[in-house]
Amino acid sequence: MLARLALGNVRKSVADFGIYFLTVLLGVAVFYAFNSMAAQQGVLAFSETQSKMFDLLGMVIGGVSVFIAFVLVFLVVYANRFLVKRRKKEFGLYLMLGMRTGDVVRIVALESLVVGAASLVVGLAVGVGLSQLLLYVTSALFQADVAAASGFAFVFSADALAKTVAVFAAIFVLAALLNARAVAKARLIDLMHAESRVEDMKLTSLPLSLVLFAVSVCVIGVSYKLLVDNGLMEPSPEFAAATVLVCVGTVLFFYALSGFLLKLVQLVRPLYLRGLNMFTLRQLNAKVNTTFATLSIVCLTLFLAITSVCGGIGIRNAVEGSLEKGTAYSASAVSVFGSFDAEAGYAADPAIEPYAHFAEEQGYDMAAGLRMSAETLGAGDFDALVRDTAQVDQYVDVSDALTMGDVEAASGLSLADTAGTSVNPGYVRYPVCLTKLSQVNEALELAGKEPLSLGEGECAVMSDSDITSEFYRDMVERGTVLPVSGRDLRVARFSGESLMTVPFPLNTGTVVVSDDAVPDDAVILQSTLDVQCASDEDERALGELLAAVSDTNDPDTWPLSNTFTRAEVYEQSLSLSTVVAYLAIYLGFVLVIACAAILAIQQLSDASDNVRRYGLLRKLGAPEGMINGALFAQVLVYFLFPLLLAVAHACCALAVVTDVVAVFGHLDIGSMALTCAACFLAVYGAYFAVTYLGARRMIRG
Amino acid sequence: MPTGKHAGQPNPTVVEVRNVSKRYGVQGGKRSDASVTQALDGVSFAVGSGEFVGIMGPSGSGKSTLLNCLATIDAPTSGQIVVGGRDVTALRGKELSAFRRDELGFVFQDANLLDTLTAYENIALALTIQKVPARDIDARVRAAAAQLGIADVLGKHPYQMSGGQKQRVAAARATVTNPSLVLADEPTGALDSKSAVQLLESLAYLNELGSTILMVTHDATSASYCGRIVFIKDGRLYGELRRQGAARSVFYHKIADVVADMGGEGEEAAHAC
Repeated sequence: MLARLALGNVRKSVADFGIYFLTVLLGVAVFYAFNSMAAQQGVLAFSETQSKMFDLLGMVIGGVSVFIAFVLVFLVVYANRFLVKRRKKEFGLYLMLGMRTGDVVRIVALESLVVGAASLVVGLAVGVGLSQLLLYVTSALFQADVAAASGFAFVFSADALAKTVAVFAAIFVLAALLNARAVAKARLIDLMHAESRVEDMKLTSLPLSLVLFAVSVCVIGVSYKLLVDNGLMEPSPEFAAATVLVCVGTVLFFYALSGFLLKLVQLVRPLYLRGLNMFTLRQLNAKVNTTFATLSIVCLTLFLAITSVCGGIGIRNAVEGSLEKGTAYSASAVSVFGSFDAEAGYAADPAIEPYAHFAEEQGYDMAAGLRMSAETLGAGDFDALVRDTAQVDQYVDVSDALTMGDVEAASGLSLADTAGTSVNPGYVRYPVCLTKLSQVNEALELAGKEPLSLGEGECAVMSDSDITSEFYRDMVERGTVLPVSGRDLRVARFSGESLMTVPFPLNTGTVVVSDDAVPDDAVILQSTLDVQCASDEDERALGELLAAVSDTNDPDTWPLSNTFTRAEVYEQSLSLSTVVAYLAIYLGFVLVIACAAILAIQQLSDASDNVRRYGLLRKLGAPEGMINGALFAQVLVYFLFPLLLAVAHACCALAVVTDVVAVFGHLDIGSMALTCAACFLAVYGAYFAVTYLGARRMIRG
Repeated sequence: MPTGKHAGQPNPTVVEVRNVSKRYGVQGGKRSDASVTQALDGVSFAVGSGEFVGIMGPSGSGKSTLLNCLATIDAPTSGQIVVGGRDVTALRGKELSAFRRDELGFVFQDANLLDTLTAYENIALALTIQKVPARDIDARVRAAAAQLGIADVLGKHPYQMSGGQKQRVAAARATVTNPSLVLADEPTGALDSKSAVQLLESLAYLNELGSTILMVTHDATSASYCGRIVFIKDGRLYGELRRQGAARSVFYHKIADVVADMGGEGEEAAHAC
């Protein structure tokens, strides 16, 4: 009997359960899909590094899922509360007819169970589909092929299934208990009169709304300016102020929005007195006291979601873009002998010190040194693995060093102007190293690129970093003359080429001069050996050889600070940034669902409270189309404005993030982020549609 | 005191109720009589333009059903209701809402104003739904408000007004569109006696200005403001009473007599007065 009642109730109020169903379904699907990612390792051909990264991804997602679970608990409980509130009168009737509280509680629990089970099953089905989709995304992102010969593999994770079922079962039990408590605690009189509760009509003053709206726009503007001017490289009081201001501005914005819209439209009399416009605007305004907090939270959460997703994917794309430039050689070995500071002078690197004599004995010839070291260590035959090499040394004239400060003084430009906030404040003391044209051209030739040519009295600047390249280009345009060890050399050209294989650009600027312009007593700060191998196997073997030389404690070997092979660079940077991108998508997706669900539930509660008002409009002869239009406009305002403001916030934040990401290379939000945004919009739009249709059904009484 | 400016002249008919019956609980007409409620049983009467007609009857007499049928909120099982020359029982969908919008004005027991809108906006709403050009709206709203003595509350919200003021705002909303027929359903039901008198005088005044009003009431005092009373009992027409220029107190006593008569024959009489 109870079961029949419960099932009947669910069938009758499909519209009410719609949002609940959709939310649980999407929650289950996303939760399963991301938790099942570890299972992808079984079907994708990963390298060792990628496998490690994927283990890391699995762990991080496991951790984040705890947080996500809390978000989902909140959502399900919130959605449930709406359902119970909607049906208080019905429960009151059951009690009045003599049904025991226990029976009513059982009906409610049974309903939750039916809907929960249904949405769990459908959600898991969708989740399995989604995880299949993620498999191909991973395959593309990690540049790893599906291992199966057919190129198709079905991925299924029993662990994730168990975890999802366990988490949601717990959520349902919690929701059922809370519902039961709500019903058990309610007094019959309250249940019966739940509908006739008089609404608190506290209207805000309209002129005040206008002022508040203007203030909110100004506050948001100031916070944008603070953020753009100061960036977010380092935590600063300005950054904290911008964060606080943007929150305050957002809350004010939504507090004043409806009043502002009302006043604005009232000024245009013909618009205000058309159809149900004044009804719609007054409806929005009457609800402001209860909705502005929700709208603000939703807006800020959407902002977080958009920024994290676009930023995460952007970082990944930036890394991928700079890889192209940074992987011209099979491998690069770097030795950093020391550092230079205009105030402190030259300081030898303590880690290199014990080996420095060996490098000196080899005449700073890296190839020779590495050959000998490998022999000493029995780590392999250097020459057999290497097809060709090129060495680039970076010199500093210790007695008359060219610093960034000198370069700025000579050019009359400021690096801070073009590089934004992402440069270290002490940069003016840093040296700008000299490199010999012959070495640079050898390295360029080794990479299969055009060599540089310099005329008499000319020099060139090289930098592979996006942070500084604009500064140098401006310098070339101005025909800046640099004082290089007593000679005046005109900066004739700029080259953005990278002279080594690295995960992200490291060279913020070296001056290329003819070989004789480097003074004999100049000190080598850093040497790089670029190597081309004949095959991938040789490259791997060379990687092991370099690692052996790098790891040994034998003082009679070449000192290596860093070594990179092309494959390592690809795997490391892509894998790590992909982990970041995945996390961003996971979090963003759940946050968007949460926002949309909260908005949807609030709108549906509103609609159910407003049934009487819409009924009156109908009695006054307003056609259905007009009434639906008014409802549509209301729901649209609630869904659209938080989104618009969130997008505005995100644009500002991303503009700043671009500066930060420039460290890794040029930020390209790219098609991937657009695809994600489209997915999010689709989910958001689906909620909008379900909300509108549900609300429409409700106001039809 | 005339009951309307057309009193004594043959008026064009605004409403014609022809042999209207309403049965509840009938599905395909094959149920046994026991499960059928006959709410209206062959009711016929007509209302001329400019009349102020009261419909009286005890609870369960079918007067609310009749009003709902006239308001096109409900449809009769058989018979016709012609308002302004159109058979409203044949209207469907958009025609129905257009009919309610253009031909009818409503005054409900509880004023049924939109609490989010000011008095001005509540009255204007009836016009904006009709898509009246904005430039005409202001003058018409103010004129309607002036007729009902509520010009000074136009800027207020319903929660800032008294019950009587709200009801007069509702009356202004009902008449501002110049409908063929104003339907009032127990309009004084929720008012104290002073406010009730004010509202009834307002309705009588609107009637003098030309509005055709049909008011459902079970209160003899309210009914005494009408020009004619139609009595309904057990779904049938019980009788009719015309004021014909009589003083209100005289008319009141006549009405009270009929109500007493009607009550004497039925068990529901206690509820009638």
